[in-house]
Amino acid sequence: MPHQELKKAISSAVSKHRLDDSATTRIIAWLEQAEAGDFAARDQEEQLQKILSVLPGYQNAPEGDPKS
Amino acid sequence: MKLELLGWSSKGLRCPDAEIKLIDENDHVPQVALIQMPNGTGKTTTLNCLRAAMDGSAEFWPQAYVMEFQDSTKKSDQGVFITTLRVIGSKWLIIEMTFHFDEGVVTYRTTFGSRNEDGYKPPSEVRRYMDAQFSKLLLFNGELAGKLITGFKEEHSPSGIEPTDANQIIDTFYGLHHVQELQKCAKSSYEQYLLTRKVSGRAAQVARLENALTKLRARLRILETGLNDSKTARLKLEEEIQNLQKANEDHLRRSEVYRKKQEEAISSREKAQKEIEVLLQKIAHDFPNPVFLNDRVRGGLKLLAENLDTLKLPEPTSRTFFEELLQEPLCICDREMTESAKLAIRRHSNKILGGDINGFLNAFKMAVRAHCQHPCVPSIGDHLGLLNSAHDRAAAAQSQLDDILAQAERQGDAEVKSRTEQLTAKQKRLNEIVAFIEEAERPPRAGDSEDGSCISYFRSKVAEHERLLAQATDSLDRKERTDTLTSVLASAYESAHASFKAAAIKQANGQLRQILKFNLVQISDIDRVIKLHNRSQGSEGQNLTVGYVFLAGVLHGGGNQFPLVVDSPAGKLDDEVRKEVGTLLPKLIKQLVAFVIASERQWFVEPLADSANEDVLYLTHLRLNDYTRTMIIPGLGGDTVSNSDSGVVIKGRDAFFALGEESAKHKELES
Repeated sequence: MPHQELKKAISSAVSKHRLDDSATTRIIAWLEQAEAGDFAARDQEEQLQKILSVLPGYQNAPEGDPKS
Repeated sequence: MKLELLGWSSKGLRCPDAEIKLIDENDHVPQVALIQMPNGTGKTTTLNCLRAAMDGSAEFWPQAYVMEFQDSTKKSDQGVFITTLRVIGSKWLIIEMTFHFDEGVVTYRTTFGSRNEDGYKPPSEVRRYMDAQFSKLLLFNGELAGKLITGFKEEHSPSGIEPTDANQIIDTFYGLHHVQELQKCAKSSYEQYLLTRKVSGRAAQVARLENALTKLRARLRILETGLNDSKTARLKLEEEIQNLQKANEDHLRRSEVYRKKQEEAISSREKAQKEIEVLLQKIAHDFPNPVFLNDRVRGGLKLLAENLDTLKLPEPTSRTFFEELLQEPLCICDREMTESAKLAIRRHSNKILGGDINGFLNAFKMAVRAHCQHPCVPSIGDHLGLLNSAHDRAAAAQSQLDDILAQAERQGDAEVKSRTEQLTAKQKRLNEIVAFIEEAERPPRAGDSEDGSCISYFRSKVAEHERLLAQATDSLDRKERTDTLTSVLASAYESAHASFKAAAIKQANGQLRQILKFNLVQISDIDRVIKLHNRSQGSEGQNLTVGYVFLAGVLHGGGNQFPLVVDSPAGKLDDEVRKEVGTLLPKLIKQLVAFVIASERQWFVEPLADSANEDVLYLTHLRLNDYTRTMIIPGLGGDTVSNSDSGVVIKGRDAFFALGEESAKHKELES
């Protein structure tokens, strides 16, 4: 399990970017699998796509996106 | 998490066949295990096998590297290395590595409790601590701790294991390196995606953008690395310059001719420098006060306060006052409250009562009035004048000191001359470095080009080209999602890393205050190297102390316990430093397994054993050949705890200390 402090930092970064909470869950799931080892490249990519699918794309970026 | 190393055994490998048991018959694992292995006994092979047992990396070793582990005398087809660990004080974890020399591969078998399976499969409770990043923290060369402060030069380990730095240690321990892995994964997935997005008709444009981007990224990487290196070099040069200047001043202070003049100049420089310090603090303190910045603000405020409405009260809070006053038999001026008086009060109160803002305006007027009654405070102009004058005095004193030095040099003082030459060269180099740092860190400006060194300019050019490439390949949507993810991860990483770093510094500084009571060194920051307060490095002993305190603090934080396997902990140290490190290690590390050679024992082992309350296991591991069999082993004594046709392990303090002594005795007898 990722460290509690790291989970908090991810959750806070997700909310700072005004993103859906499901992004936090999916990012933490990816990190959990990485920590557990045996995280094959194909599974990594599959989990990554799950994260990307809940993030806003080019047409629907939140206004005042903090990364820009 | 508590992980203990209980021992290991090897068979058919380059190191002699042997079994090393760190746990005794009462299930006790000593705090310190000292394993003495003379050169040529296969120490490197053992350490590399232990590391591979702790991270599963042998599955990926190239064939040629695997073959290096083969016993060159017997050339057997297989070799086995078994490592035994204990997890959380109870369950045993056994990692078995089989070397298949006919194929040049290594396979693993993992046993945990009653579970026994093929492959590298540590249980979930320890899995995160058994990877290549983490194994670098548990098995390391004795020089690592010191290098966490002095930094790593371009080093390359033959086993392909990169040295780790202080920041990485924090990242590894708290799992932040996985955040960086996810970032890398997202970026490389996007790059792969771009390769599939060849839009017809735009091939030339895409190729041009890709080329430009490659060049820009390469230049940016060079500049960022250069900036990091320059900052480290600047710190080092500044300290060297300071030391040389101090050495010159100390030298002249001893001379009858220059002492008086020099002391006057130094005292005047120090006085001016203190004034500068005080004035700078004052300016920083008063800076938020607008009156301090310009006295005309005071006049302006007074004028504003005078021109505000007079005799106004905030309506919501003050209306009740008038209503209650009308019920009183007497007014506040002691006159009787007649009907005509009541009428007059009602009429005037409506004029006096204003909005809520009047409460604030009244307070503002009072504050301005009080402020204007104070005598004028010195303005920033006055302070800057004083600062200039103090600066001039400091410069004049410095120039006096330079004159004294020049005079001494003219008089043929060789020491001063040599130091002054060094100073000139170092100052020149420092100026160049500072100029580069300023140029690299400045904001971009009109006229910047790719010939320059402004990092922000290159970052914006890279971003611009990435966007153009995304447009040209119709990949803006995917780029947006990838950028959002990497930005979220960067922000989470930064915040978590800062928090872990602050905790590590606090913890280490607390412990350093206890350990280095008489020569205190404190950590100011952790970057690639650990930065110390007011100096770039401490003495060798201080550097090692800080390094070990930091490392042990991170590894043993939160009740965790891991074994630290250190190769040659006292190898290149002076006698005094050996004693310091020997005493220190058991105070910090709960299980230390140290590989030593005979020449390291002196000044190191006894303080180490004292500090560990004699909870020490002494093992001497020798390769068996005619010489060791006839000349060495008979004179050692001790208990033979492992014996094969290629190696022997002898347990006992006396045998441990006798190794190396018996050959000297033998030579003595012969002569």
